Amino acid sequence: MQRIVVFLVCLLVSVSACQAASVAISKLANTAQWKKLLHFESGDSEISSDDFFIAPTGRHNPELELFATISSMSQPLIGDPNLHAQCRYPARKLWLQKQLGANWRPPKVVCPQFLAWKESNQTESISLIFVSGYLGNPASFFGHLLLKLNKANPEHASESPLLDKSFNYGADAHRDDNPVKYVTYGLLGGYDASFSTAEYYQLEYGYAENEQRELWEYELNLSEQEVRLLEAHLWELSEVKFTYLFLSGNCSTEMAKLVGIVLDEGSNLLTSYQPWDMPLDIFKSLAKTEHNGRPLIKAINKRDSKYTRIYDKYSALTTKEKSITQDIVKQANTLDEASFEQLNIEAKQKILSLLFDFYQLEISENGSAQSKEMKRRLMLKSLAMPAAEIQWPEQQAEPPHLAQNPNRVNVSIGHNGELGSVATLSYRAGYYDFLAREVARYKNSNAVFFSTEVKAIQNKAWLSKFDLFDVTTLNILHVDLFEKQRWAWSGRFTYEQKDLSTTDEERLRLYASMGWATHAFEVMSFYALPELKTDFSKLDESTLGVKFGALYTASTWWKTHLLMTPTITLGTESFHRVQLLWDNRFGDSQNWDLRLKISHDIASEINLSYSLYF
Amino acid sequence: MKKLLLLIALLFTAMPSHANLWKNCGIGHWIAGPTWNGYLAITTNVTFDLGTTATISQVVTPGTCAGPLWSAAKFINDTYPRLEEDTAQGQGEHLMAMLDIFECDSDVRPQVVNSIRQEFNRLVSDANYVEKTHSQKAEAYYLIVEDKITHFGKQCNLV
Repeated sequence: MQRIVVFLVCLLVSVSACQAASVAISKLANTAQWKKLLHFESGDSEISSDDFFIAPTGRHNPELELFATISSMSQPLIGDPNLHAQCRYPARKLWLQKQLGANWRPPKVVCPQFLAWKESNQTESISLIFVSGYLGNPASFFGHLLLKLNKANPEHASESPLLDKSFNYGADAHRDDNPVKYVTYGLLGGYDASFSTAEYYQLEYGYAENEQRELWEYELNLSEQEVRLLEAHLWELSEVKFTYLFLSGNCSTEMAKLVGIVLDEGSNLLTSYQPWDMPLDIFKSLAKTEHNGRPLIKAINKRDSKYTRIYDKYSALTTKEKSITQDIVKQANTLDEASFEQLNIEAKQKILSLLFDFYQLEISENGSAQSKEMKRRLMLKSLAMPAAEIQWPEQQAEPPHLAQNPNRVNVSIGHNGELGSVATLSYRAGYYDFLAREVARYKNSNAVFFSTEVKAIQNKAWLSKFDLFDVTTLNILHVDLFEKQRWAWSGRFTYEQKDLSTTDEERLRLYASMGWATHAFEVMSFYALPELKTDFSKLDESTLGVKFGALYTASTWWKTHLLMTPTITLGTESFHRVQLLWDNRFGDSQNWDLRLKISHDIASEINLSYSLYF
Repeated sequence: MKKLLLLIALLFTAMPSHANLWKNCGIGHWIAGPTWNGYLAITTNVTFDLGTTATISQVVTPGTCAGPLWSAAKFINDTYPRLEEDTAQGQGEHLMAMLDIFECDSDVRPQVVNSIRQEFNRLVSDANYVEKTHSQKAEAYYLIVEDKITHFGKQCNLV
């Protein structure tokens, strides 16, 4: 087959230069960029769609695929131009033109569909977008990653990115799939995956307005040629299928590989030493990467969630304006009273602007007729005023690439009241805990996965615990307008020692709790979570208890967590006990911190530790 | 005479009917809120058919489901809660993005916004406004925009 293709290529190139051309093309076929365009990984393409390849064995043979590509693109146009290889594979064509230059003169083919699509994009640059994590869906705990083609803005246009074309990579799951299928298929490759496109405003609405997630846009420093190549490659990926793997074949994986097509061979946005890919790691890699002699990141912009907008707007009001806003929420007719009417126009417009977001959030969450009618009243009030020109103060926030690194190794020394001096070594695969630096984190939350802790005394070492997951979110609303707080909840599945006094009594346990949380000032949070602990190793030692906790952020350098959990066993022999924890983090680095922990669970223990994050 | 009749016929076929946009162009599907069917939302690492995401090479039906009016109709439907707020305030990113679709000149935008606001005021003043479905409100808003933008045909682009 290869000989036939080479023969055909020779006919088209030049018989006398055939051998040299053949060698050159073989060399090209083994370049990193050609293989990236075919999504080759360990000898085969990751693309599962047969019709992505021209050669019958193109999926396994990049050289054959390149010969077949040149041959197909060199054929004269017959029939629908959109089906011609030059139009199906515009990125390959661009790449070949750059590599072969004047040595390759394929017939001129105009591609109506591709050109119309390109024209509608008006792409000037490319951004990667970090979508912050969402604790309402396990698949979204680690955040998400989008790609956006940024439109060139003509003079008459606003600078809004809402009309930009954005791209998503995800599993082709059906929304009716049950959670068991969803998890199993997602982990084991049961789903196909694909790239899909939508206007940015569609995805932005879903994430920022409905799911209250922040969107961080990282515009990339790429040359015009590189932007054209990636744009054309996205066209090639239309209707192409991959296999979705939640850990190592997810949005992070494929978006990083896509951008990697135009990066130098030595630049790898993926973290090679871990078997999973997560969005945060990609953005940390972006921040460390130089390209064409410049930082790969050109600019970073944040788009707030609706809830963050409410918080920021409320914080920007004066005390009097806040008071009137609270009065309006409690009693709608305050809108018509002197206290509101006597405000200047700007103050009124600011309050109305905030209340629009507030009531729309209420409508999204409970759809109450009262909230809808209130929003209508607010609109009528606003329409009676001239057009607003509100300038809200800009709120500073640290971008996600400055978040604490997700992997953690921790070493500690301490003393246990029953066991004596104790050393501890632990490793956590991800992601963050209550005491982590609050950058790009769901506030007041804990999301720990695959955490292993080994302890040792003089002559013995044992597994202290293995947490498959330990997730808590307090869901505290920091704006006084909200009457009802949301449910705080927590779940932990672990294989751990029975208590701090034992070294060889492991238990398989599931902790589940749901309760309430609130805040005081901006720096303190309190929670009360009734909790059921199911001890699968000894069911009659399962317990019911309440976690009473407090978190205090003293400064960026010190955060503390105090927890008291009285419990009662549910078995025939009722046993009361109280567990205590006081945990402190010192340090403000992405890469390390110091911890001081005092805990009590039958025995008492104090630990001083050093954590390294990577 | 024949030419005149042909021209009139062309004019009628060239201007997309608003009813066609909503019924025939896939506009009208709306998701509000983070959960569906009792399961947790699966909007994120999942590609699924909102009626809005599409394969990259999807080619829209030429004619009705194309052009600024179609784009604006889609935008209005998908972002209506933000758009109604922006319109009430006479200011906001979604309102300006909608005018970007029509490529309206910067200096005419305050007048366009003002004329839309006046008509929108009448729409919202109706006590039955809150009873309308999302699609009904979005469609009514679209009709206002289509009507008002037409008056600024020289400074905005409807084709």
